[in-house]
Amino acid sequence: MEFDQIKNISLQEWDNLNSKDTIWIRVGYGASGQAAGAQEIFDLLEELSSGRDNITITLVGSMGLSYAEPLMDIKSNNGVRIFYNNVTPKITKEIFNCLIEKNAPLSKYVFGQIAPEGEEPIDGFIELNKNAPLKFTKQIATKNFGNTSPTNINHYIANGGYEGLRKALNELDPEKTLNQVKNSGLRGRGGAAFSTGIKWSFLAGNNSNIKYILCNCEEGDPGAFNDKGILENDPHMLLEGLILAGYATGASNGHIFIRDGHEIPIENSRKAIEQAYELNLLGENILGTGFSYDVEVSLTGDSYVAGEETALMEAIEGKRSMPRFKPPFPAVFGLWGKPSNINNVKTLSYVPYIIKEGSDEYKNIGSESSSGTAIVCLSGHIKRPGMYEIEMGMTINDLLKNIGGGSSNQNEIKLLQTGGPLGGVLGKEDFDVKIDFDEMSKVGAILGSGGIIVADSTTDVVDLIRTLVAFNQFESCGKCFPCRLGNTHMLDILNRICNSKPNDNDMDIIKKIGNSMKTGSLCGHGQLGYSPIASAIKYFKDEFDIALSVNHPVDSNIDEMILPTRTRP
Amino acid sequence: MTTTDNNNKLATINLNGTYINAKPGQTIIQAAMDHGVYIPYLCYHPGLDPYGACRMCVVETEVNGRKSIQASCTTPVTDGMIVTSTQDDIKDLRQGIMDLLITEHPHGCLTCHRIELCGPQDVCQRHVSVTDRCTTCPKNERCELKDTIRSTELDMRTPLNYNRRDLPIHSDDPFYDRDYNLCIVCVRCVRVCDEVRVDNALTLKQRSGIAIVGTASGNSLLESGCEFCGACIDMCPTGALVERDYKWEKKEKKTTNICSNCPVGCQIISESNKFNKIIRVIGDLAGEANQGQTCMRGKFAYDYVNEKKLNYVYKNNEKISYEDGLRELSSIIEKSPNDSISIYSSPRSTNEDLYLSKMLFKDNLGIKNLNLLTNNSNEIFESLYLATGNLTGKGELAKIKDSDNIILSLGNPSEMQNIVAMYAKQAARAGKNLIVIDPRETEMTRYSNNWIRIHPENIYKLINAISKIIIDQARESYETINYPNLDTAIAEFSSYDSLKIAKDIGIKDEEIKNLAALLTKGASSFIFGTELLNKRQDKNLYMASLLNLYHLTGNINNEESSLIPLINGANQIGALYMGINGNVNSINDIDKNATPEVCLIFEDGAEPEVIENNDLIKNAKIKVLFTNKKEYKNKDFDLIFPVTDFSTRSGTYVNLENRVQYTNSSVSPKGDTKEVWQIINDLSEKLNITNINFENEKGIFKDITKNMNGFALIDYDNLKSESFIIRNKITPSFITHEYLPENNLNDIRLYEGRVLIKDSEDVHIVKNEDMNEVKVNTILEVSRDIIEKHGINEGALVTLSGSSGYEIKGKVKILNNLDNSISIANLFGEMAIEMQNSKNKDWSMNIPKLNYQIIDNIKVE
Repeated sequence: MEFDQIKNISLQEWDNLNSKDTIWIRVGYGASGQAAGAQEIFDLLEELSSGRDNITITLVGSMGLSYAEPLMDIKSNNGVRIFYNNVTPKITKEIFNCLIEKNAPLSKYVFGQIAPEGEEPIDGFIELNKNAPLKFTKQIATKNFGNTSPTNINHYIANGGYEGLRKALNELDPEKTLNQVKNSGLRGRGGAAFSTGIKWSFLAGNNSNIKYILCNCEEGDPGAFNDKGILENDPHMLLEGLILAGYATGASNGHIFIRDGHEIPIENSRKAIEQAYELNLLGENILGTGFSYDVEVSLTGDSYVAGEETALMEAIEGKRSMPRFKPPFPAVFGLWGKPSNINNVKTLSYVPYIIKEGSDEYKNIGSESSSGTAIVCLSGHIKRPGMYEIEMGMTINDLLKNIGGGSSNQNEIKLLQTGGPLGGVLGKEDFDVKIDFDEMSKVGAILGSGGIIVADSTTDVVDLIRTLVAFNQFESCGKCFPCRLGNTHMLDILNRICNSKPNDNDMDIIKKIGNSMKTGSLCGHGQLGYSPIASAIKYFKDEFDIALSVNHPVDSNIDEMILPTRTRP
Repeated sequence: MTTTDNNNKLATINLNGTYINAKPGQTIIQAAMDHGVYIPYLCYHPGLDPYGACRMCVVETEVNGRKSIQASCTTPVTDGMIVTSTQDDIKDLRQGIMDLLITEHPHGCLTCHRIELCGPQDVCQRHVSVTDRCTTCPKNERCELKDTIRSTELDMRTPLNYNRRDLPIHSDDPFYDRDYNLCIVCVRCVRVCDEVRVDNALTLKQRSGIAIVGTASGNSLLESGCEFCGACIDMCPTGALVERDYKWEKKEKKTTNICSNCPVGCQIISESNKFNKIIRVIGDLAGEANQGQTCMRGKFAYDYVNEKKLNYVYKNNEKISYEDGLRELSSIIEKSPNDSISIYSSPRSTNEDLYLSKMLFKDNLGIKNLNLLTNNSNEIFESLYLATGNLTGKGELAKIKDSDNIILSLGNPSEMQNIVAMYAKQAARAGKNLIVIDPRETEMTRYSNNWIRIHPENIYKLINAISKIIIDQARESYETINYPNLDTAIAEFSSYDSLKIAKDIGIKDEEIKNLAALLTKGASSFIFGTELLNKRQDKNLYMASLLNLYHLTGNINNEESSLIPLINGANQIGALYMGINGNVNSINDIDKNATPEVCLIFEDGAEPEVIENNDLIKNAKIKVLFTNKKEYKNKDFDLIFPVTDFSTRSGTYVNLENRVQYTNSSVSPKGDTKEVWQIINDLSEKLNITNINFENEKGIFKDITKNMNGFALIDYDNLKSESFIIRNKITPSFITHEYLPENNLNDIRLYEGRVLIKDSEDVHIVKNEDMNEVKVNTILEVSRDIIEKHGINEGALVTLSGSSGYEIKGKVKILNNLDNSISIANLFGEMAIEMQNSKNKDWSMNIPKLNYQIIDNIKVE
């Protein structure tokens, strides 16, 4: 089938949903929606609407506004979407009855509205996309969130999906595709922020007939949920990026690597792959262009370190997921000994936009050295927790105020925990830093995968650090000695500090262990093991001094994190 | 200074200020070791792939002005690299990591001020708590960890908390003691079990601070797929894994030997204590046949040499002098006509022993009945001779893993020639085709990606059918290999149409075609025994089919293809070269019509049934035994001469790959114990035979090099440091047979197999006097036709019995791919326990063979 035919079928389905005769109710899903009870709302709506042919109910991706979940919207006759937040079954019934009886929105529950271009908004309701937080976002990779069904490829195609792939296959050769990515200035979103184009060119330069593009959705950082978010809410965006990566580098296979237990991402990406195969967007001779490419989903067990690129390959090979030594680097000796390239979900999800709109278009977004957007996950003591795509270059202060809406209580925000448990903390004095790879590393913080946990002034820093170290300790794979033992001893010492039994030189001992880990460890997990402590000392040395000098029993509210690491079953 | 030959580019690196040449692809630590520079390490081992976990071997490297700190075990050298391993910051880093490491390993003695004064026999003044002492560790004074700690110059005052794991000690499995409180998680044991042995019986459990080594399945090695090869013990740098026997013994001396329990000829290092006991056997990494590995029989079946021995000559169980003994023996020989004497040589005898035996008994005395006390497998040698002009196989064992296909037929190398199996397993792991043709389920069938399960008498049909397909294809493309007898062979193949044969032997036609396609691609190694076949003609037919196929697939001149016969006697190949098993033209079993009145029996290493069931020996009037085992005293022997055994013997052996190797004696013989050749030499003097008069083994070997084919180029002294492979000239020929066997497959057969691992639900570990025992549910795999004929249901409990008195009871499972038969698979662990508890300490030849039983009666419970 020609792509134009596919597109026509998709547009037809999309137009039917948006026609005046159809009442289209969308319920936001994804992990946060699911947790808030979206499935129950959806089931109820299905039941209520049974027998009414003009009503369609769809589970769509989550908009990222976690604080408003379950979030449901009803398309009115002129196409304006009326949103209802935090709906319960009871509220849902009222809204539904109102819709059936009066064909009107139930004002008291309305969250806001989004009017399509050229349509008049309804008076009296807030325009969501013209007010905080959505007003301050810039949606590229997340543009379909909350709009389309993640399990329906037609929705994706009707909204411009796979145009990038079509363009690359028909108008660009692999080299030009690769150059587009190079020119865009796209940098890896997994944490290292290495230029994606250059990384791909290593693989493209290898002549092996089997080459792998691996997409990493291990995502074990507490507080980060944007990789899962993309796979839950719009898996085709990632899949298109993954196919484009394969085309640009001449790879033969793609793997989406997901941690077992991330159920919706696994389900949705498997479905997406299946649908893409059906339409010959994957497989042999894609769209008749002679390019062949296969993609499958691989799972790992519960292991944080499995997200390390070589440990990930070990996991796919069915082994215990422990990092390999480097060199040889994956671009030479990767999965099954073949050249491989590992990319984060977010990185790949920008690629369809870059190819479709052109690299210059993408480069114009964001800051000088960090082009594009950042997808940040806000959680903790913040008014509007959720997942937001923002332009690079926004300051932390603006992010907290405009997007997050400030502290969730009357206490002041004291620090942010960024870059995952190995990242560390960012103190108030640096809140004016711009969200940008280079700017943030200047103050010693990592943007990492984009998880930002907000902590208010009631938070005990020493205890928070102990929690992070406990996580790192628990997740050390056990291979290299410095990490396996160093984390254990650092946790031991932090435990005794928190239990008011410190020794005078405890912080020196920790520092020494930290140094051994930094230079001695095999992979980043050990090498960065000391950085949370280092960053905390930078901003909050006084708190450590107090902890070491006076009785400082910590009543940890995160007790289950401090596992009894030395008891054996 | 630097060689810049593109093909073999040496890299010059600067190591601590000295320029050294490193081989291409070498890691820094390998290059340093080659030049005698020590870099501390723990997880690295020359016999394993690099792992990079312990970080002890960190060094600073500088390449193009860029400095970095790297693990030297994983970092390859590059030309011009500057490496420094001794500066203070590197030392600090090592000490920092070692500080962490010793917090989980008992190291009390290392902190004690008396350490330099305190010997292993001293009573500790309670400076160190008992559980933390090095002196209470079996590896004391041979501990790699202790040496490494010392090399890092660690001052033992770590501020970190010491943590004792308090794990239970596993001393309930056969042969091994495991104490994971001493483990440093370097994972060498897990890696050798995976990379080299391909068993994966061990694994890394848990993670982070509690990561620890353990068994891959269950808590006992008996249920985890362990083959008790001891490779993990040899790898362990601490006292975590040790051999149970003699674990506290200190070695006084170590000797390089060749293992004499099977014809692989593993080079091993035996350690002896001051009482001249062999306390430990370790695979020698320098051994070319075994590359550092041994097996259960090599590592644990040597305690018999430590038993009390017979050290004097006995006549009718009365001690007499050696001189008198010789006089007795010579008068017996002089009195008896040469056709009334039979000589049974030991398969563990050296070439020198066997050469003199042949010289005296055959050449000088004209005795015809010379034989080896082993299953002679003469059909194998005979067929090999017909097919290649040589009695032995070809190729190197270590190269088995390089062949694209491996055919393994009617043999059980994982138990009988273990290292052969190891290489085949490595090949299978590397994605090569391991084709196993055997009705029995063995360890090798688990690794096979192509298990052809047919009756042994049908194998020649399958092979000939494959040959026919290859011939038919070759005719089309005119690629036939034109060795002698090709036409007759082709005529013979013509009646083996694959469709017909497939139906006849009960496999699919495509399988035969698939095999033919595989074997015509790349190099194939053939590894074969004749187990399960009883009739001589059946064996000949089978061997002929295999060897013809080997020719047809063009492997004979291929370097990557080996031809390995699976025989059992340690120096059986040497005996062939020495002419003991008759010469080429008359390889015969011992003359069945002979009724020898005098038997000279060299017992060491005989397969038990060969002596026990030998009527000729039983009925002989005069029996002269050469042994040093006490159990033979007060038995029915007229004269007993004490001869050397493994620990006291020296000389040369030839292994399966025609490798001539030298074995040292570990300890000196006592009393009148002599090497066999010495007794023959002295006897010759008594018999006034003048051409046998040798001073030492070297003299005999010189004679061998003069007179024996293939030995001419060997330098005896050089043999002590380097082995020599005899490369025979091969003259290929097809073998043809006119014999048509009768079909005797009407009986129901029960094939006995043995495997390393079984379904965990069928295996139960029970304690008996603190030792683990296994109880395995008997699963009888019964073929569909029997099930239908006898109306048995799957899951039924049945009792099978045979007229020989055999009886077995078990649960029925359906067997799909072998008609008119029943299969069982026992667990290797059961056998390991049996061997450990065996009364006969020299048990390596007593491993129960896997055979078949004829079943006459099936009773459903």
